[in-house]
Amino acid sequence: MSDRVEDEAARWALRHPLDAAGQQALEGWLAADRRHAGALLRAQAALSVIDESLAPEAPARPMVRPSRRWLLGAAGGGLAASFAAIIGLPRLWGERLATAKGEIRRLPLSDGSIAALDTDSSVRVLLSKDSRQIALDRGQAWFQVAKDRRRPFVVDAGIAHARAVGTAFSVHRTETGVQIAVTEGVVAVWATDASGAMSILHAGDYARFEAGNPNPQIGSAPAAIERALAWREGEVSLEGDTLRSAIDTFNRYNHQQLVLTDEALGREKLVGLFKINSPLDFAQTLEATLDVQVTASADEILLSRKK
Amino acid sequence: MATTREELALWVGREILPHERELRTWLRRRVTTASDVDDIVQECYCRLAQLRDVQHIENGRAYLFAMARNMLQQQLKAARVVHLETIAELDAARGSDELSPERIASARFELRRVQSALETLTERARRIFLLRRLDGLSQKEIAALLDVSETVVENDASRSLRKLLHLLTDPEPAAPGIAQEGRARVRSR
Repeated sequence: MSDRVEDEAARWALRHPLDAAGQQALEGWLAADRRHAGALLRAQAALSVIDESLAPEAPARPMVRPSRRWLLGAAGGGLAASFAAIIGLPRLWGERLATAKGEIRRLPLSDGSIAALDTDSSVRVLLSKDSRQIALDRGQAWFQVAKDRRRPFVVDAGIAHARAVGTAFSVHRTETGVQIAVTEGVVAVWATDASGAMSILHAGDYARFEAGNPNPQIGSAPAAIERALAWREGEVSLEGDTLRSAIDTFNRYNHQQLVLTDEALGREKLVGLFKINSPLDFAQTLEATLDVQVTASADEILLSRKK
Repeated sequence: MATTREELALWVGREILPHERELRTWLRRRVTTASDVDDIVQECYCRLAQLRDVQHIENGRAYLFAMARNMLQQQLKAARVVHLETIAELDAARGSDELSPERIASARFELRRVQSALETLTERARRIFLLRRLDGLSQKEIAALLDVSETVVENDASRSLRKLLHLLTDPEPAAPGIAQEGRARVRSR
């Protein structure tokens, strides 16, 4: 393929979107030599190979094939690094927003995005001319991101980062790791010290990062993600969850702690929707349905097996 | 249903381009000059560009090789001096080597191969491709973001695109006499 034709074809493949004049110029170029159409197709095909390897299209749901969704190897590391470079990492941080235990806040941000902050969580927000940065220092937050493709929306959760353009996703930071779950659109996530990998998540996907492991566990669980985000409505949704995990959830939101005196009870599986700020209502429902006796004080609600 | 231009490019990227390197190696054993190889490959893409629909093509690799083989045959028949065995060999090659299961299984580029090719790009070129892909930015917008001129972005991206194309499709460098060896190998089968 002559160098000149190949070069021109590469340029045409990359120019987009074409305005009317550009479209006309392209048609003129294609008409000038029948080989041009072939060269253009070849260049476009190469570009699609690059695109696909940068961010593979989601495979048909519900099949999840992590290997295809991955950007492995040093190329991925370079990409993650390039995000950091584009965004820059200014150390001047803006507003700090926090919730106390049991508090859930919905925070409109000045760019039109919304952050819902879960119990006992803390974020810092820095919106500037060319970037939108959020640091999640503690807890969990869900973001409905206003579309603004000139200003990437990046959440720094310590060991992991997530980046969105216009989308909705949650980031949950705990002592053992970070979980990112996408409710709308597409989000790129990567381990902060990744020399390795960046993953692309689509709606219904989650990625779980553990400290010291640059490769997150990735999966698809749209229903579970919606359910886990019931806290935005001030609710806890149980669907076959154990009593133990339900109690842990309530205790994250309330000063009045639920206490199990019989761990065997903790294995009971539960279904239901409860107000997050009312552990006593939850306990009384248990009393009515399981063999549970409830003893409440100001600080504690004891759950024991009925004698 | 007709295939759009974008779908065609995607299909060619998945089903044809991964086999171009092998096609070039195959052709090189059968024609005399590198520019003849180029001409046939180029003509294959011209014909693909004219397709209105690719859904009837089950195996891109077989389709590509069949196109190339036919062109080669016509060229040889038009030539004044032809090695009879070359034509006989082309006929024999029909449907033989390009349909084995392992060939079909490797229908796409290995991800690793594309990625090691991507690694050879400059940091800026990678950013350009990424901004295009993930954010759908135009060259103008990318230029503004990277604080360089649009020409720089276009030069960088087109040079990188061509470099990748060559990395992915150039045949293995031919050792002297490889054409003869290739023939001998085919005949001995």
